[in-house]
Amino acid sequence: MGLGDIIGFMETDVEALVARAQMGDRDAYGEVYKLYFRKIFRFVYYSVEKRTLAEDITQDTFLRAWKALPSFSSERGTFQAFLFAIARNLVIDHSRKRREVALEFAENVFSGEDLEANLSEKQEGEMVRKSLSVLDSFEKELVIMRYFEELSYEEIANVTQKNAGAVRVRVHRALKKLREYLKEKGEI
Amino acid sequence: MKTDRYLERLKKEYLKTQPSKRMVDFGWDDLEILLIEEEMRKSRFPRFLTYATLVLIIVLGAFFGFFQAANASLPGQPLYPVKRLSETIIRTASPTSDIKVENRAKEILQISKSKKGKESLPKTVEDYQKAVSQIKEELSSLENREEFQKKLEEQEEQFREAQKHGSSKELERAIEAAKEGRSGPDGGDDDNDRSGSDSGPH
Repeated sequence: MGLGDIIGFMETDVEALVARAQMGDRDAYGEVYKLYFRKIFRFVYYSVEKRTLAEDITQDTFLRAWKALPSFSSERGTFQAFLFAIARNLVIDHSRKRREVALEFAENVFSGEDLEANLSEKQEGEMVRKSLSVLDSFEKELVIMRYFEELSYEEIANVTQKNAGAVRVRVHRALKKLREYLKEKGEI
Repeated sequence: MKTDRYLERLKKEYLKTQPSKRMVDFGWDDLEILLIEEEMRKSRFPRFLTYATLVLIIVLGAFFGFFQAANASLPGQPLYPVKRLSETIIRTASPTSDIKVENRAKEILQISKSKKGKESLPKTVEDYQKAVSQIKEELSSLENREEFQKKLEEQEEQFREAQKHGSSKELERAIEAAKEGRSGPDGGDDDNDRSGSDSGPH
């Protein structure tokens, strides 16, 4: 059995679990959760850069996915893409609210505790954060989904609501940007 | 390619990022509670629908009460026109309905037993006569005719019973109307007139 066969089998497995979850089987949904919650957490974490917040958004993603299960159809895309789309939208909503709050209050006031928490969190994944800092938020998402979480171009197109061709072009440009940055820094 | 190798390194670092131990151990349990709460919330009738249903029940109840009161009214009472109107509506929806005959018969009996309102009795009996004639003409099927005749027979008995309490002149007219309604198409009374019939030996 080759890798393609294994991946194919797993996808069918997930489809079966999702179909059972759609009929109200919470245990089946639990299995789906265990398959994907780390992926969603990581994706969200590198967008919001706060662990607790990333965990809250991850849980919220799965809660919303559960509520939206009746509208999910595997003909329109994979369940993984469905989850990533929800997570992405929640991250966008959060960023929007943060900007509104920042506009309302002229300066952000952090307590000593916040500063310390931010510092220790920032140390984790620092290499990833620094490397991807040259990209804009959309390019960062594309690189994470394509190269780290291994979503297909079709899945990414589904998540971002753009066509697969446009996604390929943007991924290519993001890689080019990253390459130039890494050369400048002497990393490659 | 150097970029690909670098990306592989980045990916390894990326995959080391994990949620907290609490989330790993209890994330599903916490989420399941939220899912159960969500299911319970969905199964409860939405609040606005509850209020809307309640209002509808109250309004319908009020209408029902109103029409019940109208149905029980007698000639000369304020809701009597509503009763007559509802009869018209019922007859429009179901042309063979004998609601007018039934209602007039009930009114005749109620008025004759009551001490008040007797001045409306003659008009009510007249209306009864008209209603009986109208239905008699309209009934086409034999089954409907037999049923109607049976009803008229019962009403006749009730009128006779009511005569013991008074209003005998008006009640006599009502009795005649009921008899007339029960008579056959040849105009004679089914019970007494066989001379025109071709059936059976004399």
